[in-house]
Amino acid sequence: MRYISRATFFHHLDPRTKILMSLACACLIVILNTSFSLFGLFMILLAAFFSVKPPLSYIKITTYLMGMAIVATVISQGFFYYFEPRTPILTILPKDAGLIGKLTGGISIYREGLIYGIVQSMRLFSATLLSMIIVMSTHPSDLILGLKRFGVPEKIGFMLTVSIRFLPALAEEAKRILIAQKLRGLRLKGLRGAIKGFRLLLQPLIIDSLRKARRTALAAEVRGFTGKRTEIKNIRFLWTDWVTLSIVFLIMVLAIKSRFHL
Amino acid sequence: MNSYISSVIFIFLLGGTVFYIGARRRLFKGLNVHELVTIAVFCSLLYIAGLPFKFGLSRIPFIHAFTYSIPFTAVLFIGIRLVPKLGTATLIIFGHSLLSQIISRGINPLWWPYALLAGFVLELYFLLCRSYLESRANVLGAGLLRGLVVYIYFYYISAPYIWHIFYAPWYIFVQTLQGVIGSGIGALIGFSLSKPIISAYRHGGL
Repeated sequence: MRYISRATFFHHLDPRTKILMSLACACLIVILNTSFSLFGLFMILLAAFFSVKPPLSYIKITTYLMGMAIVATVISQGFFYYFEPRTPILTILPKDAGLIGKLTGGISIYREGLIYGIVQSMRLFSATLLSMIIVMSTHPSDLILGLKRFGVPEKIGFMLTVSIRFLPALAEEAKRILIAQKLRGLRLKGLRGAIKGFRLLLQPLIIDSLRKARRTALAAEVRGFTGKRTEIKNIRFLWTDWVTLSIVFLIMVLAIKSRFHL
Repeated sequence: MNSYISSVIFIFLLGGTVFYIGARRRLFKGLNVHELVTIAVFCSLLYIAGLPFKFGLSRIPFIHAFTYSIPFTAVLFIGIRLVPKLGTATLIIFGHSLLSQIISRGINPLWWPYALLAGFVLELYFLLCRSYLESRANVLGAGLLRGLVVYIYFYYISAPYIWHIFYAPWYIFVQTLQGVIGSGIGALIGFSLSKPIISAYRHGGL
């Protein structure tokens, strides 16, 4: 999943607004505790997700991720629910079944746990949708610029820019090395094969990336790079950013009020 | 005060202590452009190392902590051995976390303490041992410590607070154990792979 160039409302927002929105939504995901409010947040984010006009392939990925999230959460919470009262609907390992039974205290699926899992998966859905909206509507360099404006040190900003620049080249190089190793008879099946493949991939990949790093560092040094950079692109708050932030702030206040009965 | 907020305060105190001790011992040497770019490359390499896990190995149920921690620790430790300075571990881990948030997960500051803790714990370990992964025993100790702290923090603090998902103690124990073993193996792999890389890097062979 990556940035898509579109002319939607979210694309026009300042990256700082989107960073603040992410923080607010992340807090809301934690604060909200009723199934109704969690469902409401999920529906708002779902509408926002479709407003970014995602391609069909992204919708499929999102549906798949959400499907996996609900299955994993419902199963795990079905097993690990420990609030009382809890009603076991299926006992897999009784408490008195040997050493494992004693160590685990018995393994059962609880009805309340399954329901809790469904409700909690709304949080994961919201988190997934939020990340998709930000990633699809914000170019990585704009996000770095936004972070810098929030006071993230210049050197970390430079580091992130270099990392993003290196990423596609490294991924491509890793693929090339693996193909070359496979052509020489490397078998990657099973966990042992994966570890062996990883060992054989890592050394040439790191050596190659260090060569690239040296070239980049030399280029930066001969240009007199000190850590400070100027940007061609300038970001500024528009009225839409202020309105969006006001709405987000209002929702936050209401959520905190209702959660803590203020 | 809830456990998450207490943990955030603790992490910042830990970071402050680590860098205060570092400053007292005059270990702050600053990072030149070459080292900064090397650290940036390792942030990307950590992301690449995690990709097979995201697309394939994570499907293996129950052993994901083990399969993920091997490549992560190996790449991380090679990076630390290449730039053995105070702050390298934190910059690589936190940089990788920010990078994956920018590229695929979306910015979420609630996960930053988790990444910072993983970095600060290693920095403290290096300060106490006065060694930056220079011997096999030191490397193994750092790997085991990383696995222990990161998985316990994730299962006891981060996941219950951020996702409201709870795990049974026996499950946390099994996952942490796998994470510790995986990190230990990854650390040893990283140590053995880093020797020729370091020699080429230090003597201008690249």
